[in-house]
Amino acid sequence: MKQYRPITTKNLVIDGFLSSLLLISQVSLSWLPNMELVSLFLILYTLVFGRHVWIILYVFVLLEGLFWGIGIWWFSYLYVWAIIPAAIFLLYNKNCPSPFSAALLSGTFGMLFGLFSSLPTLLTGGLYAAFVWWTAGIPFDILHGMGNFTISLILFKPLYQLLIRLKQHQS
Amino acid sequence: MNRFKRLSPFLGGCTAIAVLALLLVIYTLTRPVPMAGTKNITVDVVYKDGTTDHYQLKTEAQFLLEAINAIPGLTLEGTTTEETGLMVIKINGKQADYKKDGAYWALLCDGEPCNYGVSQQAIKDGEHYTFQYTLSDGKGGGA
Repeated sequence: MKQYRPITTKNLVIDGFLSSLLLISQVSLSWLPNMELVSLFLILYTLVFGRHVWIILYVFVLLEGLFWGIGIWWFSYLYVWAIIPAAIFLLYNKNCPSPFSAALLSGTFGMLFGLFSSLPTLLTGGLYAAFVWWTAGIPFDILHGMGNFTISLILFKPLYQLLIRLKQHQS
Repeated sequence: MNRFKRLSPFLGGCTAIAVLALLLVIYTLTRPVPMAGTKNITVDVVYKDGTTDHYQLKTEAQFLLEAINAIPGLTLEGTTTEETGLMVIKINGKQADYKKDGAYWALLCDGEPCNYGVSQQAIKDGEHYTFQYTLSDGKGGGA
C-alpha cells in the first residue's frame, strides 16, 4: 500500500504562495482578452508538486470567487481548471513532457475552454442557450488557445527549472 | 511509455489541429450572418414602470447597435468589452445596473431573448427588437 507523507506547514506555505501566484498572474493579465498564465502554471505545478496541485488549485478558485464575486462563471472554475492536472496525471504521470507537448496541451485546453465552461449555461438555460453561448465565443477560444500555446512554448522550460529549484529548497 | 512519449507531440499536434478545424467549421456555420440591403425594423424600450418608447426605422446597417446609433432620441450607455461588445446599463438615461439593482436590460428579438448582444446581433428585415427592464428574478418592466 502506498504511504503518503503528511503535509507540513512548509508545504502549506508554499502551496499558499503558489495559489497567490496564480491569482496575481490571472488578475494582472485580465485586461488582455483570453491571455492567461494559469494553464501553464497548473501544468508546471502538477509536474513539480504532484498532488499538491489540488490544494493550490482550489485555493486559487476560492480566491477568484472572493476577488471577482461569485457568479455563474465561478461554478465552471470548480471543474474546468481541474482538467489540466487530471490530463497531466493521466498522460504523463511522472514523465516531463517536452515544451512543445506542454504547449500543445495548453493550447488545446484554451481552445476548448468555452466548451468546458458552457456546462452551467446548459444547466440553467438548456442545450440551445449553451450552444449559442459557446459558439459566440469561438473566436476568443481560438485566441485563448493560440495565446496558451505561445506562452507555454516560451516559458515552460525556464519556469519548470525555477519551480524545480523551489522544490529542492523545500525538501 | 517511451513509445507514447515519442508519439505525444505528434498526437498532440493532430488533436490540436483537429480541434481548431472543428471550431472553425462550427463557427463558420453558426456565426451571425448580416443581411445586406435596406431593412425595416422596430425597437421598443420597456422601462421599469412599464412605460414604452417605440421607434421605427429603415436602415442599411447590418448590426443592431449600428442601427440604433442612427435613431435620434434613443441613447444607449454602458461598458464595452472586446468579447461581448456593448453591455447596456442605461437607456435614455434610465439605469438597470445588475450590481446595484439586480436588474438588467434584456434584449428580445420578436419577443424571444436574442442570441447575441446589441453589438453582435445581426438585424433582419421586419424584425422587432425590445429592450426590457428586467429584474434578476425574471420580472420585467412594470411587473
